[in-house]
Amino acid sequence: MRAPLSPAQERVWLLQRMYPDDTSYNMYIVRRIEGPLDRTAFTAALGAVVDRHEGLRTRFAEVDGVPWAVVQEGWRPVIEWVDAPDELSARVILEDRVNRPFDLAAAPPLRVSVVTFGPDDHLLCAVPHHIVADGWSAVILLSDLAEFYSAHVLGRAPELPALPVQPGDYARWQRRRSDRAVPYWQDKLAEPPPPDLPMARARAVPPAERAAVWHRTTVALPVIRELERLARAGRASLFMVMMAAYQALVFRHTGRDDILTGTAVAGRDRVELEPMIGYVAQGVVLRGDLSGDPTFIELVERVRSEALDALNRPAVPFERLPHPVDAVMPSMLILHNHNEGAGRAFHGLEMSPYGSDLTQTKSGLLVEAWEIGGEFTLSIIGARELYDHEDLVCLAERFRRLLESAAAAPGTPISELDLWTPEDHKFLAATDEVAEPDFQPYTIGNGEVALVCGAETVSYAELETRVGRLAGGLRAAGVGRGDIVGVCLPRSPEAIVALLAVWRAGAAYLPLDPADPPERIASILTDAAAAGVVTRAVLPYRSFDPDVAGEPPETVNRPSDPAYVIFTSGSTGRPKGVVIDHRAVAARVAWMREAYELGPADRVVQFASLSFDAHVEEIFPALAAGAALLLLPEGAATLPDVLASPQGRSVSVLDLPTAYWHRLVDDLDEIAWPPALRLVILGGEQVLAPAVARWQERFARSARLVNTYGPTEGTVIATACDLVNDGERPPIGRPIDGASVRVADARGRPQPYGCAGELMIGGPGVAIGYLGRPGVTAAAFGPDPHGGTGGRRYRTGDRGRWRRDGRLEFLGRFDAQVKVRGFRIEPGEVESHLTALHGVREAYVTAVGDDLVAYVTGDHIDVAELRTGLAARLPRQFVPTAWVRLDALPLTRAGKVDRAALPPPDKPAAAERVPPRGDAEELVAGIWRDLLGVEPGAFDDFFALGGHSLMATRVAARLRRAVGVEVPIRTIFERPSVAGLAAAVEELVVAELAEMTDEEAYVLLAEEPS
Amino acid sequence: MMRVVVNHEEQYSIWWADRDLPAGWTATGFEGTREECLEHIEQVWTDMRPLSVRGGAR
Repeated sequence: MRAPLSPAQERVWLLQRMYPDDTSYNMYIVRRIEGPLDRTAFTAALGAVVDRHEGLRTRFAEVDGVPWAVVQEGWRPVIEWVDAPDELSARVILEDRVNRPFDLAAAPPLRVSVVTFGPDDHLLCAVPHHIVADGWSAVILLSDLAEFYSAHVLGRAPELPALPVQPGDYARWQRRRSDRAVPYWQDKLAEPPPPDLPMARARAVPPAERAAVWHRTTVALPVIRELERLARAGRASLFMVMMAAYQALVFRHTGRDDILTGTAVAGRDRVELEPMIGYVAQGVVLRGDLSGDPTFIELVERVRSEALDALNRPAVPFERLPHPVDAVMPSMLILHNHNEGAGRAFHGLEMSPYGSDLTQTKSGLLVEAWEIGGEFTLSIIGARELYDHEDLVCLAERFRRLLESAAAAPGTPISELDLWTPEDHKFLAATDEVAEPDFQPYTIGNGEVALVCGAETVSYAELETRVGRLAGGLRAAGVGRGDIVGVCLPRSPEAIVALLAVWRAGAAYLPLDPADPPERIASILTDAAAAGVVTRAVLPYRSFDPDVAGEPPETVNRPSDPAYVIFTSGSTGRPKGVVIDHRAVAARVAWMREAYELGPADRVVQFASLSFDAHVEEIFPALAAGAALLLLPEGAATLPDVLASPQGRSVSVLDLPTAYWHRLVDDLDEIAWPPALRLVILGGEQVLAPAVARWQERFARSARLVNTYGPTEGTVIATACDLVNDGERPPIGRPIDGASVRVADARGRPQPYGCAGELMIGGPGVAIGYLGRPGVTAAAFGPDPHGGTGGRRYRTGDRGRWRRDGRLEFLGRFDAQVKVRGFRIEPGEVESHLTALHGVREAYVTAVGDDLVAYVTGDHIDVAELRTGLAARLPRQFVPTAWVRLDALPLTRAGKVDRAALPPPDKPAAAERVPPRGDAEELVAGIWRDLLGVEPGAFDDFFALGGHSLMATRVAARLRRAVGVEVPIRTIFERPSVAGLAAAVEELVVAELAEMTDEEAYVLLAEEPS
Repeated sequence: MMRVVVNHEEQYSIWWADRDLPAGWTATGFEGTREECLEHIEQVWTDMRPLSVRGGAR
């Protein structure tokens, strides 16, 4: 007798088929049994249970790629009786039995062991595969087993009414219902948000490879009773209240207000389903709308109407959705009701629950709750790749507090619910401590050689003289305190002299790039109302010759005097002139001198163009410390040549844009790294972990690698730390002295570790503002509630998060969203997933017309593989539709990715259909035509043509019949085009032939259909 | 709702109307949407130099 599978069974079957060694769908029912166990009675009772429940004696046969449930009359599970010397060894045996995979086709997936580890002390371990059971079934199994056992021992007839329904009947009924539910779920789960789990660290990994960590805590019963009261008042359930609280928890950690959460419902709402053992539980997804900062009560009401709509529907048909399970159901919340079907007792035996450690989890994060024996337990299981144990302890504690706050004041907006633990308050208090260095006006230090530029060198004495002379000349020309003076000179000693001379004259400098068109330079000078510009070029603006001279003035810059103005051109709008004062410069110079351990023996490369504020970090700390500054007169691009020259041998410090450094690391062995190199400072972009690993391999002890972060508005940098190769995403560091950094929520309040928010920078490094732009300044520079009287902080627009160790992570830009075909996409999200994939060195993602385009670099790029890799992790709209392979990403002068220089994607015309070529492609195309009813081209994608994952097994079955090789189901997912799959089939056939003797091969070839 | 605020250096900014003002900031009395507040600041904040710098220029 054979029956079809329910849709939920089919999904589990497919997963087991794809990952035969995966044990995450093994259920385990473990109980401690104390007392004189009657083995004969137990064996008979188990046989009776298996006779009673067809599900427990069902195996799953595959016929032409389609699974069928085959009920086996009279089948009995082998009961394994084991003796263990002690409880510890009993546990070890148990772990092993729980984690052994099943072959669903070979025999009914049920394994029973009884481990005896003391007189009258046993562990009962029943392991059914999830395809035949669920949580409810476990209760029935034990209860029925107890009844048959007791009846046998007492010599009476068992008191169990006949079962009205068996799993086969249920499966047929559920198949009809499921078909009708498909449109609902497709609509409900269209365009899912990017998966974002609270506190999750790395990136999602395939479910089959997930190990788990877990933590449990309890919630005080009065809190639960209050939440139940709250539920009743709103005609809701405790589950709905818990779900609202969980969504609020996710919102407070991620800032996202569109949240997908899976849950499981028992699905036993018909009385005839109640006594049956089978996989009846249904996985459904609730989509939380947390927009507009609702109160907790309002959120419960929203969850209620969503849940009433979703919960009585059959499970989400994941295979009919174009998104991976992780995107649709990144986490799960389940409230267990353990009072259902109170179990019967084993006569003469004491039975108690017994914990067994889970080793795998199907979800990135699974939160479960239950009340047993006057205790309400909260259990959190997280994937080990995303969480460590401390994360879960913290998350559980915050959840508990949030439940308490919601119970105490349900009228509170969810953004205001208190959830911070004492540790969190301690963490936040620590971020309030900002070390502010005493103000020291800038002075040139003492040393030998100050500047080296080609053949020219300038000594410290000479530098001092030249700065004084030019400052005097500027003074004589009327320049003084409060003025802005442009400096438009090529990379040269006189440019450095000019910057210092403007300060000496009491004014602020405005660096300008001589390569820019004169009109643009003049318009910036006009915008800044500059007093003039030091230049040798002919510019339509009042100009000072760099050779003007005068009596050196005795100026001491005051802390609030402007020091420089840097024009930044954001992605939108006209350039803004950021005004930085001397207090800010002094704070940075003081910290850098010390942290970079600069001294007269150092030689620092001046790499950055003067029009970017990175030059401040290179020039002023070095010249204050008496170090030598090595200029690059022929441009930054000549750095590798200069390093290879005799002058470059003594370079000890490099300060490089991260993207440029990535490129140098690619050519690590070709670069003539100076023997004196002891420090490399990075900044400007996310550092990639593999580059750090390569660097450390080469320079482990000899050269420090320091990552820095900071916008121009925060004076060069605000955070820094040494990078080590620890496999984590490289952080941007901790706030440096003279900078406070907070991770703020949408209402500007600081968040403790693990919560994503906007990075806010305070302290003396905060800019005065944007020149002549009061509105924009007021919007970007706001009151700093923690920054002293009248203090201000800068809103960076960057998304970041504290790590537990007090370092910050950069998570992307808030304004980086692009729109493609109406979908909102965060390119940074796609990029970080891409760079985690095999072979990808760098990735840049952007929108071009109707395409999401990925630019990737790397040695072994297989676009099809990358596309499949992303499609397994991200919602479909996040998977690029056009791909461009580059040797290197083009960079701007600032060392950032140069958007304008990216080539347009060359996309094959969509309408063009290439007919299948060759026998193998014809074979694959023919199978698709039969299954999908369309005529596929060689490059068409199985899933894009309407194929779904359950059909993949049928493709494999037909291929097996046609060519006699076993094509792994995974291959169909990994190479979803006709051409790709055909190539895979050919490879498999060749491999098989290679393993055969000549005779076998001859026979096979003779049999092959012509 | 937001409001226009100013500090001891006569630097303007905006702050949530329903939240306590951070120390050293006073409300100017203007309230409105974020955009209205920024538009208002565009009109009234004519000398963007911090107060402590203004007197000392030259």
